[in-house]
Amino acid sequence: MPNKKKLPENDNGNGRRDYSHLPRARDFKLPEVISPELKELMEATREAMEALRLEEEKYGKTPRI
Amino acid sequence: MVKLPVFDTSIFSPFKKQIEKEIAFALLPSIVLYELIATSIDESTLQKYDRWRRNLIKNERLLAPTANDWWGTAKAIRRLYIKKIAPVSKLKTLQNDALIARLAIKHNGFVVTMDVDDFEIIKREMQKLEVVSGDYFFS
Repeated sequence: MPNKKKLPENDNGNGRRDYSHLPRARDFKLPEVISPELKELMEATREAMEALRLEEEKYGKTPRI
Repeated sequence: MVKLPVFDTSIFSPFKKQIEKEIAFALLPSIVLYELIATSIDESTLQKYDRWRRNLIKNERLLAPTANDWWGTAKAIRRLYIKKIAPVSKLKTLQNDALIARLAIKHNGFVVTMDVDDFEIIKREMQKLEVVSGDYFFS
């Protein structure tokens, strides 16, 4: 019987990494009732992401330092 | 217990829209906030990041490294250096990623990043680290 070549961790054999044991964004569901604190966080996140989008539009993608 | 995503800075530019909802479940290392702020230009952007920061703290989503985390991270980078796993120029760029990796392990999370290869280098010395690409996570 030929020896099976041991695959590196996270390799599913077709050259692509296998992440199937970890959840994706769509696996997380928002609660039916969103607390005021979480609502405020989501709003603040939206504002921050909009600010990032505007900065990228004005100045281009920023370097990572 | 479900592992929570820990966002790396590299996913913010391509996945801004999705992050707005996913922040409800994600953890954010203070290193990421640092990297976003350090290269922001407009004062209005800084104010919005500040509001975001205060809300992340209020919701216990912001992860800050302790003195022990710095120590553990330095030891991991040192092992990579001694084993010559990557050139020094590369190791210099891995400090922040290694801190993010350390915080993800500590808080039972997994890193979501566009720089999977960099985190795979760190994983050699932080075996418990789990990393997924942003493309996979948001697909």
